[in-house]
Amino acid sequence: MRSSQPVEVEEEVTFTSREFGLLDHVPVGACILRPDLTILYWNRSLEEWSGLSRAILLGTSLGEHFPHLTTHGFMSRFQSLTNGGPPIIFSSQLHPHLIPSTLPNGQKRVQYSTAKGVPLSGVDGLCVLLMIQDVTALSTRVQEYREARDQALQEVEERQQIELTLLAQSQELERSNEELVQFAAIASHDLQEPLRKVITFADRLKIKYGESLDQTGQDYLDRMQKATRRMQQLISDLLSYSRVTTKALPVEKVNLGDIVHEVVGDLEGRIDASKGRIEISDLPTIEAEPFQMRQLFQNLIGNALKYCRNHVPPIVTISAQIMDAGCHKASGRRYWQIEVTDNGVGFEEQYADRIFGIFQRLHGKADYEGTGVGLAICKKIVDRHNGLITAKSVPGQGATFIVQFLELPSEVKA
Amino acid sequence: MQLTSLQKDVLQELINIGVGNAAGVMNEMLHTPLELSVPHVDVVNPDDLDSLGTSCCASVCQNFKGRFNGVAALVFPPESASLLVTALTGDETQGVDLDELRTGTLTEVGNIVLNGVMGSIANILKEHIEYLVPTFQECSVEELLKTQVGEGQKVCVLAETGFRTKKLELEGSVYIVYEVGSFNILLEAIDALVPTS
Repeated sequence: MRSSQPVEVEEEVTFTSREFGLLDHVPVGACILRPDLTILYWNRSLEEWSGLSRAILLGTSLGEHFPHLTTHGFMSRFQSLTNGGPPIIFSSQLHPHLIPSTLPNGQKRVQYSTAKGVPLSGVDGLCVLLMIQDVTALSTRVQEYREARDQALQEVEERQQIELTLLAQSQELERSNEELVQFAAIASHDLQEPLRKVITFADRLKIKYGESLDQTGQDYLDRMQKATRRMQQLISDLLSYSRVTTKALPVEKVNLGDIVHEVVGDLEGRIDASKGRIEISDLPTIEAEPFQMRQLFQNLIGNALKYCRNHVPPIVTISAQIMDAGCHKASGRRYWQIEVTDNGVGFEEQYADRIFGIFQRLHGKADYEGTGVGLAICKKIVDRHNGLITAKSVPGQGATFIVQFLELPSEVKA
Repeated sequence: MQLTSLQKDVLQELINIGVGNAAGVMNEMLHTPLELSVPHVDVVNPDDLDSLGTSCCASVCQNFKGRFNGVAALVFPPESASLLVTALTGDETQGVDLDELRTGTLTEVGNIVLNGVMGSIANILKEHIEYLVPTFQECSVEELLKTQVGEGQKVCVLAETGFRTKKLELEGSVYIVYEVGSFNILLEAIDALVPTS
């Protein structure tokens, strides 16, 4: 303390240090100021924080060392306090460095301060008890929390944006598919009529004038008739394809064993002609549209018979098993896996996806009849039933078509 | 409790002076021009404050004790509180979360406003009032008054307070709840200010 201080100030300093000495042992900054802001007490924490010893500070004016605290705004608040007013808060956002202090890492100590008027023996008016908390760690944590929260909010916003975009794309795709199906249905229906006329008049031409045509003319006419019949088949298949969705009926419980036996009955002539054999294991009952299940197995078994090897009678097996792994997420229902396996020509594994596309053919028309719509219809039917269809094969050793359908809700394991 | 229009005028004037002083302090400390106004003051029975509703508010409470007992509170809807802190500090943190740092700032704002108002009223009372350190609370006004005010008959001075900066205009409410005895002392002091005709 400076020796030039008045005696009464020296006495007040001595008295205050004795009375408030306990504050040397608390981990907050604490000081006591006379109403005129002369420093009467400065605790150890503040000595350490400010780097100023009591020997220098005590008995001197706060403004000498911290001039920013003597502006009118601070002075009027201190004055209201010394006149008996309510305690004062200096928040860490508005006054982060009330008593400037640097941490060992170079960062400035962030402070939250409270000032309260306290009576002191022998002093007119109330003195100021200023308590300063170090809230640097708290501020850092809040800042980190804010950054994490802002980042999370941004991610959520981005995700929502992506979801909206996906939804819009999905709706657009759905609309576009719908239009395509409608177009296919209308186009194929409308194409039938003029085609029928072409076929009729080609037939009449052959009957009435066929004899008058030379060899080349008759060849042209035959080719035209073949082409029109093929076009008729294409249109018919295209209609079947579009009707999978446009003429869809509600699902019901369907025993696939019954369906497959009916299909095999229908194909009896072809099976006998090829000296083939069909082996059917126990098949499950599922929720499906019966007509479309018939279409599905008609195509799969029909293909198995069609793509047989030369001089090798076709053997087709149809089996099923329940899959315990990979349940449906929303319902917890398991999948039935139904396999249609043949011993035919098979195909290269790389075409396993392509074969389900419409008008996709792996073999020439001359080798095997067909329009390339059958498996596309199968895929559409399976998709419509929330199922999955895949295929695997080794060329020359046959192919297996795998269809997965959900088990009945009543079969769900508890 | 019914006040004469003169008593009401004086009370409004006292609060206006207090809020004006608070605005002066804020402008010097914040370097952000802030206008405060008190367009309306009313005196009501706290039990009649049903219209306060149960929505959560951000409040700064200043209790006072002694011969003069009660609580003063500055109350904002949480969004307004957060907007005010943003306007005063320039802290553009997203969202309306009132975290530790922002509640600290709001506590200081409430502290300045309530000190202004209570100081202005205390000036005419010539009574020693003991104040507690202000606290921040997030709850409905109904809960606030229930927890902060004890049993017995009370009177509530309700002052709507406007806060306006360059970019922002919002309203908070100052509630000062007195015990009836304390409020009568205040009325006597008000009456003493006005010369009888």
